[in-house]
Amino acid sequence: MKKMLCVLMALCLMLTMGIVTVASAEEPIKLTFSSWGDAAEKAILESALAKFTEETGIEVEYLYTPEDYVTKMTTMAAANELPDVGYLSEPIVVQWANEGMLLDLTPALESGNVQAKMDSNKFIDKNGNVVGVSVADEVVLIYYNPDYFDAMGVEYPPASGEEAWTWDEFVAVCKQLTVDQNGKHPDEEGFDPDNIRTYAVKMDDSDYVYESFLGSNNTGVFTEDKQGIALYSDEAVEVFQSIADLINVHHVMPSAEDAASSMDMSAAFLSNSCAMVVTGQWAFQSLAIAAEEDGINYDVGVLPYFAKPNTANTGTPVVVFKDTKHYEEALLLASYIMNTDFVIDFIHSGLWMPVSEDWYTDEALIDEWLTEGVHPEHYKTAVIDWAMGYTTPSAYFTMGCVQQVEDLYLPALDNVLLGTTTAKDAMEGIRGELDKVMENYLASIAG
Amino acid sequence: MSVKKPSGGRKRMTVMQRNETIAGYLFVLPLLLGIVFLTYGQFIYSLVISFTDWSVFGSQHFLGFANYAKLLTEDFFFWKSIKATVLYAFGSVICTQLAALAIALLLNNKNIRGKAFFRTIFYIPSIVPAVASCLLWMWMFNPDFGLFNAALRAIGLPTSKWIYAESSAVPSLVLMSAWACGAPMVIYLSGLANVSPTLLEAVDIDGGGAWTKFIHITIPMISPVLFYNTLMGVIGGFMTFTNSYVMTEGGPNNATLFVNYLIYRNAFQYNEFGYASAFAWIVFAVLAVCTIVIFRVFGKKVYYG
Repeated sequence: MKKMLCVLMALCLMLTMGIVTVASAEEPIKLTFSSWGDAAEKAILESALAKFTEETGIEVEYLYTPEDYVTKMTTMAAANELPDVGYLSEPIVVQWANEGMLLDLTPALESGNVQAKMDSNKFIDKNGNVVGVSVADEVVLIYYNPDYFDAMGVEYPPASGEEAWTWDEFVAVCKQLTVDQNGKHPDEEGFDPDNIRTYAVKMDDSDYVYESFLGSNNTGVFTEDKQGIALYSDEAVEVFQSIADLINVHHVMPSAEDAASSMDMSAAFLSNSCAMVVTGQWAFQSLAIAAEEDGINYDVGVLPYFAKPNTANTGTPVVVFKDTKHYEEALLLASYIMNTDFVIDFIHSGLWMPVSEDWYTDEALIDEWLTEGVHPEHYKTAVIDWAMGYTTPSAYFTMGCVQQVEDLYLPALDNVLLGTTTAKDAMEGIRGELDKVMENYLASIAG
Repeated sequence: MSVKKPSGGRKRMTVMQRNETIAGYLFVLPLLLGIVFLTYGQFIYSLVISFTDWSVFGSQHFLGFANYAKLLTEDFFFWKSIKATVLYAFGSVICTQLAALAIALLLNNKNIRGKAFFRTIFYIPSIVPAVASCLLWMWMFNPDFGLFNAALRAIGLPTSKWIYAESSAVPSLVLMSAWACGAPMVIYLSGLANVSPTLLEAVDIDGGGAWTKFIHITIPMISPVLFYNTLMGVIGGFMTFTNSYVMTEGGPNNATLFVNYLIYRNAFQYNEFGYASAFAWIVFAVLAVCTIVIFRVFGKKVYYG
């Protein structure tokens, strides 16, 4: 009797498994997509995913991870549970791709489903494959308060690459704009550097700012052949020292720790504590809101240069992870996410710039891009043409050891900006370590 | 009436006792399984992978002690982080314990009114979520418009860069840790409640003052609590993570690059899990040595009554 019961149960089990197998064979394809972002970005992505499902019949599960995204992705990678498609943090994209964690996007780019993308926004792995394409472009600019310039009788920053200030011209203008509590400028006798009412400029203490100026001095984080580190080259040292001198020698920029902790750009413009701010294009969104709420005035110019006008760029990429069982469909989904039409709200709000080439050349599309109340008078030449003509992609678009290099050189710059050491000594102090990182990296991609 | 023992020397269980025993084990089973699989399992696994080059991406290769050797001899950040952590751990232990003991002594005073109210007030910082308190303190440390510099300016004292300068970053975080002294304070209060009044009266009779009472009666009587709080403080100091992760990102110039943050960075930014595990085990060893030293040096001086 017991035996009979066992056989019966086994039969039932086999039958159920058979049914499950048959059912799963007929299940529709389901992809997973992951991203971070604020509530607005989440909403836009959700509507893009819904449209994708509507048009293709492919269901997409959305994994929204607003915090600790890289930690989550790393944990999912360890468990072999990565999503099919998703965002990935810029500094680790090429590293992951070189380890075989990301798939080639070239078929998607060549499929005709995607508008032609700017080369500066493509992440390229060690084999030359395009493994990520930014969903938005961002370049580095000078934002300024025209009212303050008018009050000081100083000409506005140049709004095109051809007219950009040289570094020395920039420093000279900065001195005209900086005043202490007694109204004296840095070159005047009796100037009090400890009590400055208005600083000429504030810069983000970030890789994209440094890389913009490094590129402008014909160098970069890495040597041109990508076989070595260039951070301790004479050109790079000149850039770092020149930036530090703005704080400690010319007294036209707040110290790094003050800048790190001080008020945001709109408040700085409102209170006249700063005349210019060097940061990324994304700031137009918050400036536009501040303009509407507080009536601040702002415009934009291009960066000063050392040897040639230049900006670095950045932009979160969409990637296809290696564990996907539906490569074709995943590529199709990636194409949808890359589509500028989906993210037009972000472009209108001032947060993002398009990545598709035609948006920079087609007058009708540029008209569609420019939004009153957000993009100021000089936006077309100082941002759109600037991005198209003067961008050198940031190191992480092609190199897989950027995080390790940044963890060495950015802390080393802290003391340069504080004025307690020179750029040369700081870079020489970590030279051996930088070379070691590079050596390990080259060995890892050769193997 | 004598009960005949079974030949095996063990008392035979009744059916009810056996059922109760089984039920007992079943009740603790989820906890046991949790501890074994969710704590000790990982604990041992991390030891195993510390001998490999596991990087999430691919297969693991056995490296022997290479990760440990690299950490101790080659890693640019290792000794910086150990130094920062030791400074922070001992700084925070001293400041936190002194603050906790001082407040506990004040609250233990019979003449103070509204003890429950003050106890709650001083305990509240301990239950504020770590990230929230970090954000609050970032504002207070702000050199431009933070509370501390505003106060210093108001009384004409020089200001500080607090967490934004290399030299003052660790002391600032130590100060912040002392703010959350509510938990050890409560333990000190319970210890102080057990100090015998007769002993204190004896000192009064002998003509001793408050200081004599404190040194010769209170301290020896609360020495188990003092010992426990110090030990837990050192361990907690070594384990600190949130403040460097949220407030300073290890800076400025690696001044607050605490070991846990560096382990996190190696694991989740560089994907070197084997290496990060080796790092974690070295920290474990350092902590074990610290604990043994504390036990050897202070353990014998503890008076357990």
